[in-house]
Amino acid sequence: MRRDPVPAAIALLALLLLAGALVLPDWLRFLLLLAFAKGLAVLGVVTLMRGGLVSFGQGLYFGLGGYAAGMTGHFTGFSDVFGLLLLGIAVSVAVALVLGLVMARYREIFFAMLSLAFSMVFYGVLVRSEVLGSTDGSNLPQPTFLGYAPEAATGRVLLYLLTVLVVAVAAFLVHRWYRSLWGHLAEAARENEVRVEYLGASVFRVHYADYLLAAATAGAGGVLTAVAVGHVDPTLTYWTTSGEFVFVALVGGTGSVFAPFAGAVLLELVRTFAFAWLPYSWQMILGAVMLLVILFLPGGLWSLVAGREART
Amino acid sequence: MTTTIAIVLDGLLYAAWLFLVAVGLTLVYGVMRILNVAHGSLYALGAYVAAWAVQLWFANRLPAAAGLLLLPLAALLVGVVAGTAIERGVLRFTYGRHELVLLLVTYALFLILEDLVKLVFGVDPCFAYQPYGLLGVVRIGRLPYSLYDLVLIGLAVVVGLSVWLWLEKTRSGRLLLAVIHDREMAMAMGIDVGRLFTVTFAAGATLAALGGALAAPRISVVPGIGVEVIVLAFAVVATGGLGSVPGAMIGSLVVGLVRAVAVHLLPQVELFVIYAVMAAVLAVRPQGLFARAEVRRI
Amino acid sequence: MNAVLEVRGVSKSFGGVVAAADLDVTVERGEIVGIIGANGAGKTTLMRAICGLLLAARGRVVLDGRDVTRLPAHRRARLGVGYMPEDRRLVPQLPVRDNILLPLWARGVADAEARLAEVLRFVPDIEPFLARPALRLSGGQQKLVALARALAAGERVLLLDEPFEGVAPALARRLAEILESLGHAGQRTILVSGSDYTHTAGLVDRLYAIERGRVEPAAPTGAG
Repeated sequence: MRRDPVPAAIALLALLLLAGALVLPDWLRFLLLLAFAKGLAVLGVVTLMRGGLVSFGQGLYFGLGGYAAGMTGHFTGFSDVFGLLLLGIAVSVAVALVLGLVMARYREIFFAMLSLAFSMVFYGVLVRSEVLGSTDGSNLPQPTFLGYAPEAATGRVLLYLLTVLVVAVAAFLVHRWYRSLWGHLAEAARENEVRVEYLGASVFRVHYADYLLAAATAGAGGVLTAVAVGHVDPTLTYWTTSGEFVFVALVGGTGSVFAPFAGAVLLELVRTFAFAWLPYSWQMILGAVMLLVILFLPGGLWSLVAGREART
Repeated sequence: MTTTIAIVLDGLLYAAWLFLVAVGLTLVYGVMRILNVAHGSLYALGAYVAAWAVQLWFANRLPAAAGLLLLPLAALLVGVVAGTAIERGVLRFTYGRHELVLLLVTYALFLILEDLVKLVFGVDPCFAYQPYGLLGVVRIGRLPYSLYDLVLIGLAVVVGLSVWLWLEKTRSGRLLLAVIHDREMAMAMGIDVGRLFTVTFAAGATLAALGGALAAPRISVVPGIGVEVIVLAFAVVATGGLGSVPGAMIGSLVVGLVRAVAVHLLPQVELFVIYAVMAAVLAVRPQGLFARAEVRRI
Repeated sequence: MNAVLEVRGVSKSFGGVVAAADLDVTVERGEIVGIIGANGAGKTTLMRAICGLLLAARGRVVLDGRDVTRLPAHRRARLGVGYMPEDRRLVPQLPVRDNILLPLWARGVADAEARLAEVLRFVPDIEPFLARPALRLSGGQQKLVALARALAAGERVLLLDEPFEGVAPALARRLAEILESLGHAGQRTILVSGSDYTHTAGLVDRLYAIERGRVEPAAPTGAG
C-alpha cells in the first residue's frame, strides 16, 4: 500500500507559507490570511457537498464564530486569540448540535433553503439588535497571544502564522475524516442513501457529523476573520457571503482539501484586481465563471451530483 | 381597534406585494423545477425600468393618469425580453440536470444581473413617486390609506386568480400539468415542452418585474433590492409549499400578517420573524404548508 | 415502398453498455409487427429512439419516407406517432377524457371530440369512467386508457411497448382483441413489443427477435 502523500504535502505547503511571512508584502499576507479564513468555511461546505448537501447558509457559522470573538472582545476586552478561537468554535458547534438535529433530516434544495433561512434569522437578529452593534457591528481589541501583547505589525504577522497553522491542522484532520469510514459513508450516502442504511449505518448520523464539522471549521474561519479585520458586522453572515463559499466550493471541486484554500486565494486575488480595474463587475465575473464551470466542466469541478445525475 | 385595522391592512398590503413576486417564483419552480434565484434580479430590473420610464414620462409633462399604465408595461417589457433571453440563452442548456445544479446556475445569473443593473442604471437611487399620489387617499377608520396601495391588494388577488384559472381551467393549463407531471411523456404526446418552458419562464419573469414595477413608486430604487426580495420570496414559497399557487397565497398572507404584527407590536423582531416562521414550518412540514404531495406516477 | 416506419442501423449505448446495436426494423402500412426480446434486450430503447425520446448515436429513423432522425420528440409525435409506454404514465389528476385528448390538444387538432369518439369505438371499455381522474382507475383500466391515448395520437403509427407485460390474462386477451380489431380496420400500423410470444405471435403479421441490442427477423408467423 502506498503512503498517503497528502499529509506530507500539507506540511510542506504550511512550511512554505510560514516562511513566506518573511518575504510576503503586507497586503498579500493579509489577503492570504483572509482567504485562508474563508477557505476554512469553504472546507465545511465541501465536506457537506461530499455527502450531497449544499449549504447556502454557512455564513451562519462564519458569523457565529466572528461574533463570538467580536462580542467577547468588545464587552470583556478579552483578546487572546487562542481563547477566542476555542470560544468561537465552541459556540458554532453548540448551535450546530441543535440545528443539526433538524438539518440532517433534509436534502437537496430543502437543505439549501433551510440553511439559508437559519442564516437569515441570525442576520435579522444581528441587524435589529442594538446590543450586538446593529448594522454597524463593533470593533475588537488588538489580539494577544497567550499573554503576549505584541505591537500591531508583529501581531499581524503572528496572526498570519497562526492562521496557516490552523488551516494546516484543519486540512489534515478533515483529510483524515474523508479517508475514514465516515467520509466513505458520506460519499456513499450521496450516491444512494438506502444502500448505506442497508450497510447498517445511519445516514442521519453521517450528515449530522459532517454538519458539526462544517460548523466548527466555519466558526474558526469567522474568528480569524474577525480578529484580523478587527471588526465584525452582519455581512459576515449575510447570504451573499454564504453564496461565495458555495461558489468557491463549486469551482474548486470536492476532490481534495487543498481546493477550498486554493479557490479562496484565487477568489480574493481576482476580487482585488477586479475592484481596481472594473468597478461594478466583480459579481458579474463571479457569475460568469460559475456559469462556465457548470456548463462546460460539469465532471471535473462538479463531482457532487455526478453520480446522482446519472440516475435521474 | 385602530391598531388591528392597521395590522390587517399593512399585512395585506405586504402580502399582496410578496405574492406578486412569489407566485412567479413558484410557477417557474412548479413547471420547470428551477428554483430561480435570478427572480430577484428580474424584480429589480422591473423596478428600474419602471422608474426610468416614469421619470421620463413626467419630465416631459405627458398626461399623468396614463403614467400609471407605464408600470405594467415596463414589467411586460422586462419579463418578455429578459425572461426569454435568460431561458433561451442559458437555462435551455441545463435542462435535465440536477435541481441543485439549476439552483446554482440561477445564482450565477443573479450575480451577473446584479452588476448589469448597476452598470446600466448606476448606483444612485431612482425615484418614481409620481404614480403613488395619483389615485389619492381614502380613510379607513381613522387611518388614511393611499388608494394606490389598496389597488395593489386588488391586483394581487386578480393576478392570483388568473394564474390559478389558467392552470386549472384552460386547455394550455392542462398541457402544462402534463409537463409538470411527466416531462418526457408530454413530449411523446406532441407537447412542445421547450416552448411551454419559454412561455412559463417569461410569465414568471413578468410577474417578478410586475412586483418590482408596482413597488417602484413606493420605494427608492437602489442596488440590492433584488437580494432582499428573493430571500423573502423564498421564505414565502417555502412556507406555502414549493410549486403551489395557493401555497404562495397562503405563504404571503402568513408572512405578511406575521410581519405586520411584528412591525406594530414588536419592531425589533421584524426581519427575524419572517425567517423564523419559514424555519418553523419547514422543520415541521418540509414540503411547506400547502405543497402538492409528491405527484404519484401511475 | 410502402414502409410507414423504417429504422436503419440505430445504435445506442449507456455508459459503455450497448443497449442497441445496428437495429433495422421496417413496418409497412397496415401491418402489425412484433418485437420479441428478453428484458434488457433493447426493446424500450428502440421504441424510445423511434419516438425521439432518446437520440440514437448512429442510424436513421424514417417516417413515411421522411427522415425524422434529427426531429425532436414532439415534432415526431405530431406526425402521427402514438406511444404507449410500458408503465402507462397518465396524468393522475386529470380525468380520463382529458388524458386521451392531451395529444390532440398538443397538436391543435380541430375536431378532437370526434377523434375521441372514434377511439372509443375501438376501446368502449373505458367509456363509463371518462370523467374520472386517472388515479382512481385500476391498473388494468389505466392500461386501456394509455392505449386509447396512443390511439388518439397515432394515426400514422402506433408504438406499443410491452402492452401485455404484467397484466391479468383477461385483460391481455381484451388488449389483443382490440389490437386485432384495429388490424382489421386496416388503417392502423402497429409496432408492438413483448418479452415472449404468448400474446404477440397470434396477432402480428411479422416478428423481429431482439437480443442483446441486436435484431433478427424471426420466422414469419403468417397472418394472425
